[in-house]
Amino acid sequence: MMSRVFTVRVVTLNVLLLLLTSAVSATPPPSTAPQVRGQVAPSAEPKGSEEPKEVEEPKEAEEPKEAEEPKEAEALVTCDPQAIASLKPNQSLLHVQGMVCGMCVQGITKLLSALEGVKSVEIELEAGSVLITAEGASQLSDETLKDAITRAGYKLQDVHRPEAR
Amino acid sequence: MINLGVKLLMRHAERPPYLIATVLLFATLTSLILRPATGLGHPVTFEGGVAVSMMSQPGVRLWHTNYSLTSSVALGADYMELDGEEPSAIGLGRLSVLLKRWMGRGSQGNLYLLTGVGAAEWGGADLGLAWMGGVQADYETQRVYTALIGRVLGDQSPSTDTLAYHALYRFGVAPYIAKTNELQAWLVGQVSYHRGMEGLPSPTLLMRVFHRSALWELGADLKGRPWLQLMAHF
Repeated sequence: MMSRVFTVRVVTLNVLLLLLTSAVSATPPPSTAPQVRGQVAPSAEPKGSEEPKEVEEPKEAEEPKEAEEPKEAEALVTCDPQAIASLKPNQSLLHVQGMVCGMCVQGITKLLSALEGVKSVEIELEAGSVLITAEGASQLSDETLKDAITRAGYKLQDVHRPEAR
Repeated sequence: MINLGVKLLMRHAERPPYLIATVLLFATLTSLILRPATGLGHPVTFEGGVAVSMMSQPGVRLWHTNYSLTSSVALGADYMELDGEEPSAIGLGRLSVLLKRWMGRGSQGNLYLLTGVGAAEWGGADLGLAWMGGVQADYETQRVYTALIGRVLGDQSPSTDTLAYHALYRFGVAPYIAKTNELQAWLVGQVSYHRGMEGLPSPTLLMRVFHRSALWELGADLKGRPWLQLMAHF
């Protein structure tokens, strides 16, 4: 009887500790405001856009507003620069919002793998990242990737491709 | 359904063990019908996704399947069997709609509309029309999980005409964060409220285990009745 009471107390304490831990480390509730940082641009020129150089180039013909845009640079902060630097020519690194479990991973993997030209899909749940390796040296367009992620029920936050060397 | 429950109670009133068993079974029955058959998982998955689940408690078995037409609409079916002197069964066609999804990096909040229509045959009574409507809101990160559900069930047959309400709240925590394809465990507690049957359902504590796209839940309520659930997405 005593040991049962003791066990119940230990379990209760453990649960309380877990609740405290989770309360401290839990991410805040989702904001209703869209996350703008590193959003995929609908335009067809996403490659190497993280480089300040690249950002400066098209600015001559564009409005100054474009040059001010800090979003791409901010996106780098949320990503692992090493991972981006080590991308192969046929690889893309995506950041996807809303992934929380193995079932999310399954849906995204299934729909991305079904795309023509995709060789493999690797997902890091904790980082919220998806590494896509295309067949040959081809690359999938942002729109294609965004469509597949949306059909899986998630939101594509940003796309990184290997920097031009 | 509650009327039927009362009838069954009266029928077995002279036999206390059956009385208790009947009350417990009806509490469970109401809970099962009114809560999502996918065990408070996602009623809608991904475009082309198929979800299958099975839940078992003493005297009750429930099967559910759904197919997501898009990432926000799913069609499905429920079938449940209830043991007893006169076994009962219910079948529902289901339509679930994801009304809104809020997404952050590593977090997800959802609002679903749940509907269903079908037939029920309770304890030898005539086959009747059964319908269900409800709302589910949930929020999940890799560390915490919470869900709130409100539902209403109607059932009509020549001998019954019932409207029942149910609310259920669930909260879970993950003791650790697993990497992709690793085993993820959760501790989950749930509390439910049934209008007209207050006090009968008791809180249930569960251990939930996730691996890839499969989920197991094992636990018991405070009365010691075990709970087992399996779910998988394809």
